[in-house]
Amino acid sequence: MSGFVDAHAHLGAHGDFLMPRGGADDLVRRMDALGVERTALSANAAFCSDFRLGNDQAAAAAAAHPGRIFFYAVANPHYPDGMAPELERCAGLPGFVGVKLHSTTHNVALDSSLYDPAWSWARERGCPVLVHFWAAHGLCGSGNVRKAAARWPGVKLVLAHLGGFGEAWRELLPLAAEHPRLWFDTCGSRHARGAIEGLVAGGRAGRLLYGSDAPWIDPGSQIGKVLYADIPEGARAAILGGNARRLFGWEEAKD
Amino acid sequence: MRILDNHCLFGRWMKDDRDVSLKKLLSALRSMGAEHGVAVSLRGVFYDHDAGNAETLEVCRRHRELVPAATINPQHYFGRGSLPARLVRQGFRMLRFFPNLQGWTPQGVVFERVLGECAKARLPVAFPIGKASDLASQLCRIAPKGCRVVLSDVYYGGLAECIEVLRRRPEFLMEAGHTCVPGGLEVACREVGAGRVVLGTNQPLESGLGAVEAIRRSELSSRDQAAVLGGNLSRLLGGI
Repeated sequence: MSGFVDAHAHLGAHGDFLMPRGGADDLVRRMDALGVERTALSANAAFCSDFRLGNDQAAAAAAAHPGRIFFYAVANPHYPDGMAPELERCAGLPGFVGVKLHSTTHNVALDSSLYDPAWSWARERGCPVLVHFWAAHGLCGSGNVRKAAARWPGVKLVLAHLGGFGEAWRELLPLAAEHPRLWFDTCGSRHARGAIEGLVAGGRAGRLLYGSDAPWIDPGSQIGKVLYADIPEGARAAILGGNARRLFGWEEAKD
Repeated sequence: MRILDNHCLFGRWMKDDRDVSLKKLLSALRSMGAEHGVAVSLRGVFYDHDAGNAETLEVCRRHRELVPAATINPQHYFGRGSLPARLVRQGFRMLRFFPNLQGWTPQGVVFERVLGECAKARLPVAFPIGKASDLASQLCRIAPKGCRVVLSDVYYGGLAECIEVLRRRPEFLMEAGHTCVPGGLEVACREVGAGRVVLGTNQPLESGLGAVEAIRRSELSSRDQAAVLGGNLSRLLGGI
């Protein structure tokens, strides 16, 4: 099987609103319907409530669906002594692919030293760090990304959501030019028409990752943005899976 | 005097580095001399109310000084059965809402429905009022007759409104703990009766010692102080 790869999803409940189909089985059913082979997720509980509870849930989902579900471990900067041990614990569990940092839920700037243990750990392990990215935000905006990327140049940094609503995706082009190691995922509820086309035209097809943000957003709407984008087929294939396989070191699993 | 605190939390807080662990709550209650605290798991606030309520029950079974308070997130509530009725059967003594942390307002019909189910199940409800606003008035209008609402976290800006609401709704109570302004507690007790005021301090997020000391050093009689510090809440919870 060599289907699509969803590089940004979640799992479980969240206090802010109802997610009626947030379980791992629900997600896999939706993956099957859309031709998604693999999904890398973090549990909502891990950043909205209790990082150990959520990381355990994500690991359990990966264990229940081997080869289909993979997980990011969430690091909480308010428990600095626990960050590296928790990441180390998660890295030893099947399906671990990287670290997730969520500045707005933790109310800590992405470039704050409070996140240093996580950045340092990810750099040593060489695993990707997926971050919530909202271009104009004071905690996880372009300025924060520039500082973090400059401080941790060896880290494979994935910026989520194309920078937020509307035309925010345009911020990605100068960022990508300044920091060629950045990756970007496509999930988001209200992107401007032409965002993916614009990024591909800007030479970033090799750094774009399909992401759904499920169960916050239905994956059908997210994969549709890529499937129906007016871009070359090679770029589409890269976004829908090839790039993620390269990022996660799965190229050998292609056959 | 017995001290019973109606407003306690435990779990993990992800917005900053405040320690709201169970261990911290238990030590905070000990340091303020509280015999019991009515406690809610933050897992139920930020993640899922069913999971949080289960944790609350389990923790309260292990720590008898804690009295279980459940929570319901109206944004997650769509089933047809009455969860408040089930919560009472499980042993919960209070239902606490967290609209500010969950991003909803009391104007929704789901919240109205839950209040109706609480009234029927005889489950008291705690709702945060905070600074000056019309929240207490909204509750006054929305809550069905017989629904025992504790106006929680009453800050001094909302004091006059809460007094008027308590006059109109004899089954309502209010928390003292953040009424701050000199004479605020005395005015509230004079206007609505000391039997309508309970201690609620938001442990362990905030200091409870100041709230207890404010009551002890108030101009209330010893009898009224005892009522506010513990007697009223004991009665509301069905005898603790």
